[in-house]
Amino acid sequence: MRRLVLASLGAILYALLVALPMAHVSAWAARAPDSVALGLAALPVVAWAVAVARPAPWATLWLFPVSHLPVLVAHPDLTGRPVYAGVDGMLALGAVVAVGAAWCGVALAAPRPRRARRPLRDRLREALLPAGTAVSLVLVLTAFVAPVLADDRAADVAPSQLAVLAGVAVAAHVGGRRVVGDLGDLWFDGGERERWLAHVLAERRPSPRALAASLVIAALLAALVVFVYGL
Amino acid sequence: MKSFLLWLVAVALFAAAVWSFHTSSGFLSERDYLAGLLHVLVGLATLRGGVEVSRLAVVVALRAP
Repeated sequence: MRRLVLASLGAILYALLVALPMAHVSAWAARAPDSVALGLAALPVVAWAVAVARPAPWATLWLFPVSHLPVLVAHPDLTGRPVYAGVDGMLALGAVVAVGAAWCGVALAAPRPRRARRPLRDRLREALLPAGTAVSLVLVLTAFVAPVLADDRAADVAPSQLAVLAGVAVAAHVGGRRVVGDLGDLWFDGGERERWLAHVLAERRPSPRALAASLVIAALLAALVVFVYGL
Repeated sequence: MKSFLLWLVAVALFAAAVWSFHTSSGFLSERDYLAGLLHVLVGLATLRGGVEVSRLAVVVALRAP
């Protein structure tokens, strides 16, 4: 779990510090990054893989943060005014600071002692929820960022930054509250499942007909959306 | 089988929510803030429905003998 959290935070930090600024600067300058820039931008990815595989202090608190320096020093426009100007730029900088602090906090947290190995089926079942959370976060963030990156209007920065900030907020809500919060208690706790089921049966008293009606309405609404948007 | 169908519905609702978020980002980028906000709200409501269906799927799957 600690490694999964480290991996997620490291990926977000890399996206905020290098990937997104590089994509924005390339779009504004209408010029793709050269091979040297791409090579330097790949260094943090390698350091991220090392830090996740071996979360020792030298990897998490030195190697991964320092690996960002070559690309940021070689391309100072990645940290310049076009990226961090104005209120939206300050919010983006705040996001970098917050994610960086979270990374350091998780890296400094003491690892839990190793337990005896459990059957593979149980370990896979335990891994499904964090994996689903990570997939949900990536999908939601990609859904918000993709139109911004595809937009070729180089001068319009503020609405694009607003879209990215909205994506970060929605992704945090989806991952933290909906997937982990609402599903996690039922996934891991048998007693909680029984209590929830008793609550649903006793207080809501659903019938098979009501469930079928709900599913039909959901299918009709989905068909209506497809028809309206002409997909 | 019942759990699989419920998971299928939950994934479909989640996909609809992600598509709604994608559309909202386009509206926000075009400075159409009201349309963007409405699409985000629709996406969140659809996501909430998907999570509720998935909770039922989890209970059905893990209570089965």
